Amino acid sequence: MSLEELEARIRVLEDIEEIKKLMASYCYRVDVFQMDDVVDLFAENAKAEYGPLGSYEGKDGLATFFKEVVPNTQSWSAHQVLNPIVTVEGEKAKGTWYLFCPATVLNPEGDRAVWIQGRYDNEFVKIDGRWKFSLLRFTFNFGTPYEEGWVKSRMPEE
Amino acid sequence: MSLEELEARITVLEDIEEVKRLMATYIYLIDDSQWDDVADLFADNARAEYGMLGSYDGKEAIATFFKEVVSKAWSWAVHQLLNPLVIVEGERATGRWYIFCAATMPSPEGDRAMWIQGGYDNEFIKVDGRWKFSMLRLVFNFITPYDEGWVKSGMMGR
Repeated sequence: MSLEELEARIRVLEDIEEIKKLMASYCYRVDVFQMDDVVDLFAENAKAEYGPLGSYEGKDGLATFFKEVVPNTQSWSAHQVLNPIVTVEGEKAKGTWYLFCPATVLNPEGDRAVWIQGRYDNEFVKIDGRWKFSLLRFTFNFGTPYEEGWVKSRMPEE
Repeated sequence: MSLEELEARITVLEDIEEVKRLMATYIYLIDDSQWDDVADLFADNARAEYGMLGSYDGKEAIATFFKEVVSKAWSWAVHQLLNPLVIVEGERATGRWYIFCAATMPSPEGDRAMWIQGGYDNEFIKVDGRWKFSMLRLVFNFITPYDEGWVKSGMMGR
């Protein structure tokens, strides 16, 4: 095996680690409402799909979501991501995670503690040597009030 | 350091990542009820020990377990893996994880939301260049109704 082939294998391992770090950075930044820094993690023409919370395209669309929709929906959250499967192919990659997130959801009758669970099926692109989100797709499994659970109340709308 | 030594070190890192990917793949397939694909992740003579749910020898018995026992044990589940500890030695490996699982279990009184926690203590073997389970051992710490908790009801009321 040549040095070039070994370097290519190391590069894949580094890329997998970088993408896991990108996903963790997204979570930490969302949870402290550093929304400009969140938007910086996305490519210029990226798309984000949040199920019932809507879909958003490009940096302006993403800024609307993170700076207007999210702060008006929740006052606190801890995004915990699990079960990563990251697949790298050159300058593109895909990544799947589960999310298990306690959140404080704003409500006219008083804030509510809510458990959120769902799955990310994301796509990434390497731009100028740095990985960015090209697609963030989140599918909710449940968003349930702490006192109720997903059998009684799977999603707030139901 | 020679190229051979470097390649050996890279291979260990790749194998750790592949074993983690195998475990996460197992989880997503189970949660999607893709039972045939789950069984394909096991070596032909693999063993699976699921505590009170029984022990199963060989790929066929494991496939039957998933289709007949697991498919009826819960109607919905998300298995969330944490704390991976993967140790590779050549073509064999061991891996420990914690599992924190939200599941919906059917009962005579209707579906119940359950929290399940346990530990996996697994063994893996590389067969024709692909990692497979040679042993899956799950020890439950609690299976508790959402609204009760593990002190009141640690093992489904037992």
